[in-house]
Amino acid sequence: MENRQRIYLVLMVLVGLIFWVRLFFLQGLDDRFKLAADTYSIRRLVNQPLRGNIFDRNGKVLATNDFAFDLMVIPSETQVMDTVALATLTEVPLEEMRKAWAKVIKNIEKKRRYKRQPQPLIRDLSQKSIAAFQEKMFRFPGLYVEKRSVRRYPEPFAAHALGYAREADASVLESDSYYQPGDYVGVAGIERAYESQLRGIKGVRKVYVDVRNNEKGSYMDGVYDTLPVPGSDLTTTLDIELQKYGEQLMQGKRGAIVAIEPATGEILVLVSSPSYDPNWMVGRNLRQHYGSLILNPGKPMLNRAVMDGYPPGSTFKVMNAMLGLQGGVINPSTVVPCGGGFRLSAAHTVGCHGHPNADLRFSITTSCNAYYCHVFNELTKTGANPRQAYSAWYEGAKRFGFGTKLGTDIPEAKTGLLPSPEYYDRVHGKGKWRGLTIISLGIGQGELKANALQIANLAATIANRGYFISPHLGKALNGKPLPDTTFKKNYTRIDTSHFQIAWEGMYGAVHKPGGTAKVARLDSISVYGKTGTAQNPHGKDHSVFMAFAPSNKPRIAIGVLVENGGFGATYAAPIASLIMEKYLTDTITRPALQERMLQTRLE
Amino acid sequence: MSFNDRRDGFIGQVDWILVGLYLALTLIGWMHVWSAVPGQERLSPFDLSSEAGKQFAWLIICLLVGAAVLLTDTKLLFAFRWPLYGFGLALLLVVLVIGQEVGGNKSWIVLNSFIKIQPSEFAKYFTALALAGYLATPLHLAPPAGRWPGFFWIFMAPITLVMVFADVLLGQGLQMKRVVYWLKAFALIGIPAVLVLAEKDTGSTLVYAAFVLALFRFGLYLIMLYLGLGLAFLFLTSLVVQPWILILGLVLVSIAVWLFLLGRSRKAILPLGFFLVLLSLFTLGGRWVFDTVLLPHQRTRIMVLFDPDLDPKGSGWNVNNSKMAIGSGSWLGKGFLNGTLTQLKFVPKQHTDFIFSAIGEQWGLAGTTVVILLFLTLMMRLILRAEMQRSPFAKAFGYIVACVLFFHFFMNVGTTIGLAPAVGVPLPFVSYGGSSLLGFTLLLFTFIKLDAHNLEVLR
Repeated sequence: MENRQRIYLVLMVLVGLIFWVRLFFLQGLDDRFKLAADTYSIRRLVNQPLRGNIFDRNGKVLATNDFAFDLMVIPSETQVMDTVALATLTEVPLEEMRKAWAKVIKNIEKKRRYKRQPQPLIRDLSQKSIAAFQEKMFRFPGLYVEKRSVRRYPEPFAAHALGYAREADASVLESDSYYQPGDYVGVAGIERAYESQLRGIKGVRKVYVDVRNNEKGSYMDGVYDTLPVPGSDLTTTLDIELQKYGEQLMQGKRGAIVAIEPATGEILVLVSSPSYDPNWMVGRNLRQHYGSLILNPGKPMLNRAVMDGYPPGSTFKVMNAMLGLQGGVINPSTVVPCGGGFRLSAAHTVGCHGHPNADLRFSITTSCNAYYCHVFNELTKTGANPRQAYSAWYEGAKRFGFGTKLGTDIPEAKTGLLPSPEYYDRVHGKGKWRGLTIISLGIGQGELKANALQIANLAATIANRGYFISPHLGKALNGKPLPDTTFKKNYTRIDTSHFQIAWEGMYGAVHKPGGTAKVARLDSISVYGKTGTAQNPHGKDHSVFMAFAPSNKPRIAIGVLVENGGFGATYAAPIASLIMEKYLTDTITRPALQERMLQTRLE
Repeated sequence: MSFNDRRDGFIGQVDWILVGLYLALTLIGWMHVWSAVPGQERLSPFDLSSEAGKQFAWLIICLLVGAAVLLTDTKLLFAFRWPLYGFGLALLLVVLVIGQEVGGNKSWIVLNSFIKIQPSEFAKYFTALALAGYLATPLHLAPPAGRWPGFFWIFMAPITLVMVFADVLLGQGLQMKRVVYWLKAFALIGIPAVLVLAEKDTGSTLVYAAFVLALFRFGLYLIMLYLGLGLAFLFLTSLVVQPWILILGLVLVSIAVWLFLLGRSRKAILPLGFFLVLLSLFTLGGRWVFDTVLLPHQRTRIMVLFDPDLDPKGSGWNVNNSKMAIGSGSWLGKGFLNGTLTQLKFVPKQHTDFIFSAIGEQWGLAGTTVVILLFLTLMMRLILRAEMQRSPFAKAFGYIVACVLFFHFFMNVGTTIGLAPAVGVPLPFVSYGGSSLLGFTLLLFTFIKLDAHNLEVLR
């Protein structure tokens, strides 16, 4: 019996040993727990910086920050709740409130969130309903209000230029580790282009939290904590008054206006119509307006000013004139007999309206089709073969910005379409096309696609006599101008002297008999303009107009495109002229014209 | 041996090693109850409105009680063992009627907002006294079996069967007197155990198994120990291994035992077959019991042993966080009062059932090793001293105390490191709780007192 004592001693030592070995592995060898314990009890809290403000060129606030209030819920702390009372109190439709609760519960069931973890119930409540809720908050344990900053746009204009910021979605979160769920990120327009400057730097606070997520003091006395750095304030090139006027003039019409300061490439106006109030893209407004924005046949979300666009029409002829002069196929006194059009073959003629035979200057003024078919046709004969000659023209046109994004800072900018030689190889077959095959390029029709920005840029290039600065919206950060190198000076490699004839032709179009754009004429100021009509196989042609003014150091170059507006002179030219007059003289001398443009509805 | 009526003063020869171990463990306990509170909320360890303060007050009371025990004539305890046992049972009955539920167990008598007591902790002490008194009369001196009512046999049938077959298996022949002797011991343990089970206090019920453990020293069939350990092993493995594989293994083991250990005795075939069938049935039934008898939360508590990630936010939560706290302590710990998980309440019941994880987080492997060594020393010292007792009562009592402490130590520390299912038993002397501290103090100091007069006992 004595040896039974040993059973007890052995059993005790054995258990002690097993426990100790287990602890040796648990505490000594296994590192998992050390890391897990830290992530468990230390929370990295992010202090969101305020997003930078956005100003127009005159210092008017275009975008700033407001506070929004989210109704948050900690599901583990809630009790049976009067949903109806809560909905009434917060002025949220009962249906929405029920759905929000269902979502909270689903998040827990699907283990997306823990029961102890706060999650938003209703976002972006108004200050009024928040005040009402907070009075009765004691009746709703587990609910609380969280303040958050959201974007506000004081002027309900320039939606396409400003763009918008919204909560980072899955694709953003995946591609950029900077963003955490719930962060805001600029996804269009200036908000996107200058995202990294506007967003600022997040502040980080490391704190201990207990099992209920209550803060229990800072980690290491806060030596790792950083304060948030607010985003930089961005001054844009926009003139919001002019922008507003442009949007009013485009009321009821589809199309775009772009105005550029030629010497700097600064975009003064960027209108895309129909437009919307940029505030619609914020918070609850979005839910309210999103449907109508998406369903509207006018596609208000589309930035027409920089989209792929339409054929530039006759505005393109000015560029062809310059390329022709530079290529040596014409000189200012070259006269091409019009005779009602350019004869392609016995059966085909590119038609032209009746006008006297034109020299180069007058061909611009009167927009002679035959002249530019001739120029283009001659240009395609200059090389070893038509393809090589076309390649040279293609490169020349590209230097004018067509088929490119112009180096602009507008994220939505498209290239338009300037058909490459390869394109025609594909369409017609290699060696099976020549100048006459693609003669419509001479007069800005055919496969060509250009947008208002490119057309305005063409006007600016002519105004500059041979170069353009990449048109842009950003001007200064925190009051400090963006470095000169930000936007490139692009040369067309056309002799400066050649542009004299373009100026004279465009002056004639506005001010001389036989001119196509006499409606754009201003009494006190010389206006240089060129009309265009973009052929539209789906309906009425689009009205196009480009112009710049005044003669001494042009201050504004403009491109206007009115969809289904017919001839360039019908709508595009008057609108451009009104904007230029407003910008240059700050008065309107033709109230009747203004009234007519404001009232016209083409939609 | 001495024939003198030696008297070492009124108190006797106190084993100061046991007293020292007691003081070390209780002070460690008090310290860590105090540490298991967030820094900002930590009051003075003497502040009676905090748990540490209450524990301190209880510790003072326990020291007074311990001193009182040392001054009592132990003959009184022996003489009054039956009335005290009856009082213990009465307390358990009372708690069933007027008891209040705390944390799912209806095992508390709430006196006022400050004092609530858990009679099951005291019932342990009274049971220990009665059982030790019973074992003081060894089998050969026990009265003959006598007649027992039928329901007693029915109630005890499984144990009886096991013992009868064990008798046969060991070839000693059936001794009814021995069977009855042990049946009475089981009844003595079983009655309070059933009452505690009625309070839905699983942990405290299981503690009564510790009393059975002590019986083996006094001649209980060892085969029951092996059977018990085997059953526990079978039960746990039956949850993860196909039953038929286990049964095949059992058959092979039985054949091996018959061939090599039992010398191919023909007489052994029947009892061996009986045990084989019993174990096979248990293997098959184990799963069934697990699935149908156990409550869902008990089931997950067991399954979590195999798969800690099974239910990390539910049943696994306690054990997972406890393991994480202990594991994050590393070799030397995060330092006293720097246990982040401990202070941030990530481990529930940190100051009671999971106090060991607070020590593990703050002191690392160094601290846990010390605590384990303290417990091993205490328990082994108890066994060694118990073995030396001249009085059979003192000897039995010493073994019972050691076994009760051992069982608590095993279940409690085992739970915190994920080696035993979480049944909720306190770590003796260390966990917060006045009733349990007082219960263990009574057990330990009664043995110290008995031991102090060891040499006075005539042989």
